[in-house]
Amino acid sequence: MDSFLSRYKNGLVLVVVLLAQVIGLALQVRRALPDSPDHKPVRLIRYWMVSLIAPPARVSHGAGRGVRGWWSNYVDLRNVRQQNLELQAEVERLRLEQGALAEDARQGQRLQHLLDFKEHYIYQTATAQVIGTAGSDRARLLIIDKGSRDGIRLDMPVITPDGIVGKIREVFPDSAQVLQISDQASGAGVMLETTRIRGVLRGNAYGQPEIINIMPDDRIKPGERVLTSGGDQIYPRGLPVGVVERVANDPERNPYVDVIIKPGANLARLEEVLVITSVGDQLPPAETSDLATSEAEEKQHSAADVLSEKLPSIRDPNADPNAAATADGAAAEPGAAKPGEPDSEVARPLRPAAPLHADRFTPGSSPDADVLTPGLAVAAPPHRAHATAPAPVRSEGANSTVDGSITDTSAVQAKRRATPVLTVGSTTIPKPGLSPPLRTGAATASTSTRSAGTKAAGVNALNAKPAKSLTAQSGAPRPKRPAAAVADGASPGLSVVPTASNSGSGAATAPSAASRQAAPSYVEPYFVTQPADSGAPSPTVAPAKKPKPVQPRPVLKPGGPRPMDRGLPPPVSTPPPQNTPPQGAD
Amino acid sequence: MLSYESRREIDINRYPVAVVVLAPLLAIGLQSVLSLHFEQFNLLNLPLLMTIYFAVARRNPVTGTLLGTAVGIGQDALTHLPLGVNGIVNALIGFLAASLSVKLDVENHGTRLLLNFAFLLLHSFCYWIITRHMLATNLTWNWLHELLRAGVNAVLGVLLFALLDRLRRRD
Repeated sequence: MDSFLSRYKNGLVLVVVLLAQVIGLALQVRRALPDSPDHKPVRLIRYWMVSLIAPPARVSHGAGRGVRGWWSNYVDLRNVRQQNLELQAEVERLRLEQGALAEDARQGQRLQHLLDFKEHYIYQTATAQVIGTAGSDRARLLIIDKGSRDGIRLDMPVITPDGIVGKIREVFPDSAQVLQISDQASGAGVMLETTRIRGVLRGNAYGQPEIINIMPDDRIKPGERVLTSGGDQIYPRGLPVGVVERVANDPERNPYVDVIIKPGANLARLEEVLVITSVGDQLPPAETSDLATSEAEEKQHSAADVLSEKLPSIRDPNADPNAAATADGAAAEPGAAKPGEPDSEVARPLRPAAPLHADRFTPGSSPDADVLTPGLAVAAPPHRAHATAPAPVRSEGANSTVDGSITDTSAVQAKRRATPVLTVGSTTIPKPGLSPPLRTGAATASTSTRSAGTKAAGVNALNAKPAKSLTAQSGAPRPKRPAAAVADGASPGLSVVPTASNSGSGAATAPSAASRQAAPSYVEPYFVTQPADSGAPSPTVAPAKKPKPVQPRPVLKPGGPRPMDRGLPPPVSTPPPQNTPPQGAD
Repeated sequence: MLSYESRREIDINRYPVAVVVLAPLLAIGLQSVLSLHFEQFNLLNLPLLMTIYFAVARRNPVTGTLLGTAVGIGQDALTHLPLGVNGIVNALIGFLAASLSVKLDVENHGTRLLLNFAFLLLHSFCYWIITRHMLATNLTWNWLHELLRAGVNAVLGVLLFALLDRLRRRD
């Protein structure tokens, strides 16, 4: 016997050792009885090993993190101010969104309460550092530096802001093990965001999380978000999991498919995780106060919207929403009004849409009675001028009125100090005896969209160079229907000045020869359009002379030089009068 | 001074106890920590290399078996797997390594390379058998992956063994 033992000692030892471990394996993998607790106490071997590994790992991790943090903090400080501004803006935007969604959330809560469904909100989380792994690609497991002394318990969900990570598998006094969702032994109840297909998530043999036992469905597309369903009673409902990467046939369960998930959290590079230590069926206090703040802001924001919708002086219903967008974009230009400035929120009156073809019967086209001379012909409304006007030129320092006309702020101010004017909306009309309320607000695009030809002009008007406003000195013959010209959408960026033919030769501020040459000759003879940046001083004071008779409109002869050949925009042919009422006219 | 001695007809190797105890522990710890920062480090199996080295150096199958069992259970303790999966495999590898070391010249680098490569493949196969048929887990066998794992670990083992040879005491 002794010789047998001594001869086969090595083999016998091996067999005994292997047999003991196999029996130990069998005992460990034995199914738990129904009345037995789910979690057996931590085995001493695991506790010893983790206790041996965790402290040095914590020290090395902390040292490496300190060195990296020292350098990265210095680098990050360079852009922290800009990032802070961006984050503040994002917080404001998110607050508004949260306030807008709060009512829907409350409605959902009421319905869930009626259905006796208890929503689980995250009350408290504990931040933990990942200090180690299982050290093998066959076990997807993490070791964190928080344990039972920090309130960590079994089966607590572990998440990151990008997605769930896993759940607590074992807890030690100062550390804990986290079973990742990519492990084959893991499991989580998930659902697809859009299709609402539910399933069980677990890891496959390659370390990828996948939803198993899913019936083939064409609606499942790559890129669809996957959320926790809350059905596992571990992960709160609605936490992000990842996105669908692809759908693969399950070779072992033929009719079913596996939905491979790309996890939202970077499971291979985890440094910090959040352990959800407390959940409840009521919103946590911090979130409640945050929600109240958001709702207050949302109500304030909504009140402004309601006012703008109900008060006609706030918003022009005829305005093109696209034009508003362009105006908003133009407001960011230098020189334009900034949001929040008083002029950017000036109440503007309702204004009928511009007639298609203005005539002398168009409201506002008739001159005032005090400037009419008996027996003198009245010029036709200059409705063609804007249609053939060249594009306005960008300039600085100009303030355009809401109608698209351009006013030179300094000139207008000087003029208004000398000449009382009446401001109707934003149209400046000379009016003796009235003190001039000065309007220097930036133009909105509400009226610049009255015709297609003035849309772009209205945008450019925000940056137009100083041009002379259509004002006239008291007592002087006023230009014909300035309001109508504006209502017709007189091109912003162009100053409408009297021509030499009817402004009188003695005008001290008559247009220069260059500006007259640049003026198209086919427009109505009383006005010419002049580019705002022509450099010629436009008269702000019209000569007090009787206007000359209206010159006939030049006729384009067949075969003759066309206006566009001369560098001029083509004339607009006047269509026959129609019986259709002006658009938007009251 | 306490020392760990191995006396055979071929050679006598002595190692400080601290080296024998701490080297496997350090291998398990490095495997755990480095895998956190370098995912590719999962491919390595430093504890198994430690088992092979000390089993070969000791040239005693019983010692190799016990050492392999201890190191394997230590590896299992860091995973969620039942204790003993790696213990069984490492015990078998330790026994075979110690048994072969009596008959082979394990000081040669080429021999070490081949031994490491063969033992790593054997380890993967035994691990696959145990987890698939005893634990009923769906562990797939990928030849390319396993060959790559064995090759990388074999090369690393040769370098590591040369480093550990410097800690050996000779009479």
